[in-house]
Amino acid sequence: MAHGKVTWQVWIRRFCQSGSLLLFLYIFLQAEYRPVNETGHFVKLFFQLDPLILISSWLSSHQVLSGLLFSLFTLGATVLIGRWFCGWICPFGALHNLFTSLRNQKAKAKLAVDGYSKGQKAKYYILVAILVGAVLGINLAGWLDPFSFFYRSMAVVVNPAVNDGVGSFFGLIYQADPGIGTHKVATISEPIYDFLRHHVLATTQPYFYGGVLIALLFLAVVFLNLYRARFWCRYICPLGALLAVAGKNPLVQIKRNEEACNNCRVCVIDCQGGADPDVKDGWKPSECFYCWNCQSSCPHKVISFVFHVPGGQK
Amino acid sequence: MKDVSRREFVKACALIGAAMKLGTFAPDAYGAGSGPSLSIAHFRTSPMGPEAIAEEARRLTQEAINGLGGMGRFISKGDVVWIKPNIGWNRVPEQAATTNPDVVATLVALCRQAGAKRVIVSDNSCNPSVACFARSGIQAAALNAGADCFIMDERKFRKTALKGKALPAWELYGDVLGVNKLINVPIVKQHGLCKATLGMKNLMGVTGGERNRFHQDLTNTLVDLATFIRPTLVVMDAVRVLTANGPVGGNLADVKRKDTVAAGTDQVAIDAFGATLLGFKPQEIGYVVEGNARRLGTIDFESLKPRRIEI
Repeated sequence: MAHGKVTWQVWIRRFCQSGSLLLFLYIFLQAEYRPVNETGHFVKLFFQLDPLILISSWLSSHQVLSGLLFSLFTLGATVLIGRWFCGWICPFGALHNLFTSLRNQKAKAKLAVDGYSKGQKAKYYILVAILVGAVLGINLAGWLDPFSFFYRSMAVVVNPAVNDGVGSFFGLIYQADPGIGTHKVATISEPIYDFLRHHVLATTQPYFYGGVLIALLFLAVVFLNLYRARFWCRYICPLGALLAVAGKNPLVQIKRNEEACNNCRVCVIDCQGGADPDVKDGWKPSECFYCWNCQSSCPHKVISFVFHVPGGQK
Repeated sequence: MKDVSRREFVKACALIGAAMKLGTFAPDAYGAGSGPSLSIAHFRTSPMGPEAIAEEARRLTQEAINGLGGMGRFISKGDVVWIKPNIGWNRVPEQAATTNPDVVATLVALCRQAGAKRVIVSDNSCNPSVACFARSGIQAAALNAGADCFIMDERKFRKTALKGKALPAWELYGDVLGVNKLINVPIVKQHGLCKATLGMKNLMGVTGGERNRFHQDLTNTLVDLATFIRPTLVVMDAVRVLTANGPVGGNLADVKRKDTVAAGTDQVAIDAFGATLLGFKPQEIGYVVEGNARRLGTIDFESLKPRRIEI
């Protein structure tokens, strides 16, 4: 969350992130088994935009699933303008952003931890491990690829839990059948449940014993955002690492008005990527998600993001 | 089933009402009035091709019901009817594991014509329900005919006192307990455990819980169930029958055309008749014998002087 009143850029970014997350959840629900043995093109959307999956599967199997070629757009765009994907499009990132904003830390505490930390290099090691494995013929991307991780957690943990919880709640009302005389609660609750079952919940929900481990991992990853901003994105995400490498020299860069800057470092508070926007000539493009929080919170309007043509005016 | 006096009818209603945990499930078979108890419609030829077979199924169903005096004898204006076909298995109609969809659709139409307020078509499938409802063709046919066809909801099974010999109580689907007419529409199949699955076995589709336990004593559990539920009408689909490897089947070679649809109010008698279509003697089927012993109906279906209609 940006500090104080936010700029229009931040609003649009939040809008895009929300849309992306909702789209991901919608696509997820669409994958429910309909009595047709096809999943439809929809379901693969985010995976097709994922260059990590393209590269890992190609290196390990020497084959390219044609749909994955769309991910070259993601890669190409990142090479050109930087890690906007992480800040605006990635639905898992949006989820982490959401939990990060639930942090109960005071501004001073955030100041101490929101800047760049050396631990952020960990994600590059994970990326290398995946690439080495792929070269050796093993596709390990599915373990820590953000969409794989998110989708798997949704399918094995969150969806069954929600279905079970909601179903049990309404089921209790149905079985106990409370009411006053002939006026039963079920006459209201059952139509509501029918609507939910028709549009959101599963018709029949399977449950998975292996879900316990996956639940623990998912909850750990999500709640670590309360400890460090966008923990997964900064420290773990191998796709993020790939895009970081790709986005080392983007055409869109931070511009700091050094005369106006008094080093208050408010811009560091709620910096999502840990890109050090407060450091003169020290901004890290490979860690920046272009979330515009720094630009939004700066009280002196020091920061903006501009097109920077190499060799031209800075 | 022979005609019963009003006193016996009221007494039976009270007993069954008392046995129920909730709902006013009415054994309206008693109220069916006088008329034939069994009618058997049979096609002289065995037409080929899906269109012709569908038409055959429709006509057979219509004639079987006419043979009993028409649907109006059973369904009145404002009734909420549950048509309970066999939607148990992930099979296509040609495999004769599930009830013929055209038989179901015809019954839906007839009920609606007779003035039913709401016609429900559902079953507690054994294979995954979404697949069964679609692949059997019953969901599409039922919806097309104007029925309310939905997949059962696991939360809605209510423990109900059956006071049976083998089943003192069992989970029955809540919505079933709330209707006032139930039409049981089984398909005739060989069964690996009890020789044949007919009407009384088909009633398992309204049960939930760990009903695989029934199979330890089908003779008594099925008669307990049939005694409690007492469908208004049983319509037996024998357009195609499964002669081997039932109840699931799969192999088209096990399917035979019998081009017959029977309809009746005596659960035991119609099951006895169904058994003969598979080449069994009624006395070979345990739950038919038990049903007869408990006076649920008569095993000697010929004694009911069934109306035979040849088309």
